[in-house]
Amino acid sequence: MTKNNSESAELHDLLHEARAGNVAAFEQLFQRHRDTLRQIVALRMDPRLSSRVDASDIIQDAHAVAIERFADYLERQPVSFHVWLRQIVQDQLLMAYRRHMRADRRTIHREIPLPERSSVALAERLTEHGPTASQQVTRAEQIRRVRVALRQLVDEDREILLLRHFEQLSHKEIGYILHLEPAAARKRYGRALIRLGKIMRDMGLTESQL
Amino acid sequence: MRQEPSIFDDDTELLVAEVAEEFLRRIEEGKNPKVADYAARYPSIAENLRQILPVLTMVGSSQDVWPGRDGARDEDMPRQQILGDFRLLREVGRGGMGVVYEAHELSLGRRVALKVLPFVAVLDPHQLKRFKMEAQITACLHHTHIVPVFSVGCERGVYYYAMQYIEGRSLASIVRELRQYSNHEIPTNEKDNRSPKTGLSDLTKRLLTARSTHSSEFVRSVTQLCIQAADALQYAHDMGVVHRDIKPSNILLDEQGHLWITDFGLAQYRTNTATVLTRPGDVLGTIRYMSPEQVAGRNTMVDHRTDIYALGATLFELLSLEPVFAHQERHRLMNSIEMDEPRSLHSLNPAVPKDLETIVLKAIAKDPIRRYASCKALVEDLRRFLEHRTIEARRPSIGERLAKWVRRHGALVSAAVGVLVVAVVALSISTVIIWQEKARTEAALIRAEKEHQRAQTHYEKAREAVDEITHIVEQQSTSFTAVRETRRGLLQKALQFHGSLLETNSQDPDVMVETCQSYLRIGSIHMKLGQYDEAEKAYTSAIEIGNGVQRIRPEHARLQGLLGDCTEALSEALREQGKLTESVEKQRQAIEILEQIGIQKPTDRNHQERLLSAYKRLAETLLWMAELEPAVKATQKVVEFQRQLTRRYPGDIFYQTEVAVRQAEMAQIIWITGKRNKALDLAYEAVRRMEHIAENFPEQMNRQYSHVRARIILADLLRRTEQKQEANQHYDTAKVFHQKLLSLPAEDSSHLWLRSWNEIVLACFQLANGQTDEAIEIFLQASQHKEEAIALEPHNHDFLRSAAGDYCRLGLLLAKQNRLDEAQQVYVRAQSLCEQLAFETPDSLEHKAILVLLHTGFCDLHQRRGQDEEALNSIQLAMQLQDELVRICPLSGRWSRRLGWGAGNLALRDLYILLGGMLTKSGQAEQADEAFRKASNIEINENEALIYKFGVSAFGWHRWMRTDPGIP
Repeated sequence: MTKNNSESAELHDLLHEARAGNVAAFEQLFQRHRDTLRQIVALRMDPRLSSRVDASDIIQDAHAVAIERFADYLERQPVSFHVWLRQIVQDQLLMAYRRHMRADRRTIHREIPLPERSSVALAERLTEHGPTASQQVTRAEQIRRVRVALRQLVDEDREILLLRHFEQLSHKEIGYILHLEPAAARKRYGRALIRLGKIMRDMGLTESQL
Repeated sequence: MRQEPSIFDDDTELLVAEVAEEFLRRIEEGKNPKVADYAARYPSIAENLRQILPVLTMVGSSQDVWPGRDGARDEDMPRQQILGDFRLLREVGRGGMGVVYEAHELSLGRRVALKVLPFVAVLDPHQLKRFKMEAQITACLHHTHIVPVFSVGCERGVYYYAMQYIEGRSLASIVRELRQYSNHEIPTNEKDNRSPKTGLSDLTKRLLTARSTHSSEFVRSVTQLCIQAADALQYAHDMGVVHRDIKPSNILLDEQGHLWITDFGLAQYRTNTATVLTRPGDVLGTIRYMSPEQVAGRNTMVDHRTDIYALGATLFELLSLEPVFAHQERHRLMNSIEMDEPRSLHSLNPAVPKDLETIVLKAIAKDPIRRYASCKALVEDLRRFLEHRTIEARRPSIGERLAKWVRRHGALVSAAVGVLVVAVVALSISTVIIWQEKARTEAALIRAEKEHQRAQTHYEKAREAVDEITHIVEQQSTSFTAVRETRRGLLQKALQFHGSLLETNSQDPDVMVETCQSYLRIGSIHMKLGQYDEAEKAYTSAIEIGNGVQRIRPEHARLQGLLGDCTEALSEALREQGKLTESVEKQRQAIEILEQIGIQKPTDRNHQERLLSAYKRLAETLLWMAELEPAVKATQKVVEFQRQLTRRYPGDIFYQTEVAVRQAEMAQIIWITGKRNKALDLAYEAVRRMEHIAENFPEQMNRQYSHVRARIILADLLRRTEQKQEANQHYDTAKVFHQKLLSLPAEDSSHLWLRSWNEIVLACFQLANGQTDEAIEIFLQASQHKEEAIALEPHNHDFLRSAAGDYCRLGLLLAKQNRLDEAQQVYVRAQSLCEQLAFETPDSLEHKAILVLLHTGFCDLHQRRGQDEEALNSIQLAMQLQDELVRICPLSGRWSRRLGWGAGNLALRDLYILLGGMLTKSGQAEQADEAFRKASNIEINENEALIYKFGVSAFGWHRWMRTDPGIP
């Protein structure tokens, strides 16, 4: 986790300008994050949703909301800019699911139903520093096994793991994005870990087999 | 997805998370942490660690997803600071005045909450002194619901409060969370980790686990919480301390469900800190709960009643999950607080009863004098509410509101007050507000602010009042005479309400839509009152406005549905007035609109049913107009629809039976057009369908009433083609089926109605077969069932009309069988029903038609009793009425099928002939000739004639008619 000093200074200036009402500055700020956000959204769109709505649409919606709330954000600055944006995007995603997929009225989507693609990304990240010493298993197989394990988790668990390990967010940031207190976010993470651990044990996957 | 139940309590999960974090950090620092070590260190979660830590060794972290983060990651663990006797552990929250930390009191070794107040350094000496004094007093507040302040300190210029650490959540946070569940449901899933539900007290459990915020459970729980808060405030007031900053974020609920108020007495210092130290964004959050006098800056008037206001506002928000005033812009918010009336609590949350709403309204009254004088009084009223006793609070009287309004708008008073007073009698406050609003918009300057937000509030209030009235009306179901007047009176008042809602000059699409809606309501009330031409006017106005919105904003969400409703309603109103051609035109338009909506919502079942019934009505009207081909087409559409629905919802036999019945009815129409074979085929198919349904769904017999009808229609057609034996067989089968239906319990009035209908159909068949006595018995049964239905729904005009019609026919039959006294009884009953109809629906054509029948019956009765003069009177009366009817609506074919009598002109002709015959008999040859001449002058529409003949022969009238002497 490296801090890019000069870049962060530049961003700091942009924020400052944006605060002063410079709309272009806001747009610049947003632009910097747009691609990453798009990727993150794309990871979370399952085929049922993507057949109706595009990741860019969701980013657009988020953009509109962000503009509305920007003044308020500037006044309070509860979290860093990208986390603030991230929360808005998460909410828009959830709303898109609720809006477009209401066929089964009994389930109120509280979580984003994560598609397989997100498990792939997560599995890759989780096994990034896999022990190459153990050559019993190829990298692809490693990823596959972890994916199978991940599939047995609920959306809530996978989400928290994604946020923590794929997006490298802190618990406080995760809490903000999911509208939870940091403690609750931490608990969820713990729970997800516990469950994942059990699943992997049940699958008979020990360290040496991964 | 398999979801494993969490048998771990929160602590385990938290611990695992923390250990995992430490583990990961170690790895990142390049150290080589060993799983075994951690397992040994934390034996309680050793197993979990052994399962998961190995995985974590592989987790990548070098690649940052986020491009150039603007600053470091928000730290989870702040560096540990020391402030005076306290070690700051972590930040817990940020408020308008400072940051709150969880801290460790070093000397006493206890956990506290530390509120750091940066602004204090900026106070001048005088204020500083006051602050210190206030702090001391606050520290002396010892109440079970007030967060105890342990100490106040100053360290290096930073002032801080040390308070008891409350593990819990603020009401603001709870409200925010509850708002997320759009269905007003609260998650009952214990494993849902959003809210810390473990170990909560009954109260909070009830609060958070009530199934929905729209339940009385929830409302009561919230009320109890409020009582706790008010209690605490009363104590503080007694000690001379005013909080000044009561709001949901200053009220906490701990994990035992205990309520705590925090942050006493600090608010007064805020006004001095319009500096960089205070975040302006928080001010909005506080302004929301400020009392009008605070907002207006009248600080001298700020006293304990300010707290009562704020508590009331908090209660409002808890109950409805919406703040009293929701503006996001400071000035509008402040303006609203001072000037605007709050929205209706009840419409935001229907589970909030009137009394509670009254209490809240009193607490948040604009004028402090109007509020509760003390928190104690508030507590008492809340308790009374909970115990279902009468509360003390009263809504302000009309007079008081009027006075206030007058004070504000002196110039407009004279003009408006007169009208106001009239309109205000027996109406609620809402109308006054609307007049206020109207006057204001008329006289006021053009505002930038949208008027529709305000209008919405008023509409809600007014509609709420009307709902009250309509509800009372609905409930009146006992004595006929006593209720008539009241019902009419109430409906008239409802009309006045809606009238006052008409904002006819607005160009705002939303307001226009509301006005359209109001006109629609007005129209339907007129319909209930039987004022069909008034209804027509209202509906036409509604459509005009709807078209207006169409021009401005065609994509308005409610517009199409509304236009569809209005057009169909207009069609109905026209129909009742006998304007059948226009009615059909409108009905077709309505169908077009509905089809359009249907394209956008192809799977909406309710919508499809609506479309279906629209087509049915069209077919019916066309039949009344004797437009046989179009009627057949429309009915075919209906059948098509029902077939679709059958396919889509195969389990719902309703659609299947409907298909069969429509086919049977179509068979009848087709027969009339002369295609007899086709008609028979269709009738057979219909019956086969019914049999199939009966076989496959024996347990759903009570939805197969129409089986009898379909079969009798077939039997009737067979009879006409001289296949008597087969016809009678079907009759017998139908009768058996009907008996079976009778053995089932009748669920509601519609079942009784259906039974009666079946019996009429059976009776008519017997009548046509010449079995008059048996027919009469069945007719009597039918009437019995109708009376039972009427007893359940005394204002159902359809019931009343058809019962009256039945009695008229029955009377004729009884008279024919020489049961004259019974005939008289039956006519008398018919007359009384007609009277009721005349009163309730004076403009209806149908009841006039029944009167024709009635008088014809009387005529017949008089003749049989040898009372020739009375007989003549009766028939002349009948003719007068029929004349009138025909003039208004020449196409009065409707009655031919339902009453088996006069198809408009034909009936008139027959009446004239009858009259001629009677006049001849009594020796008045000249008048007789006159009558016969009139008869022959009447123009007969061919189709009408066919239907008439069909109808007449179906009920065997031809036998009866021909037996009278003197008919050429």
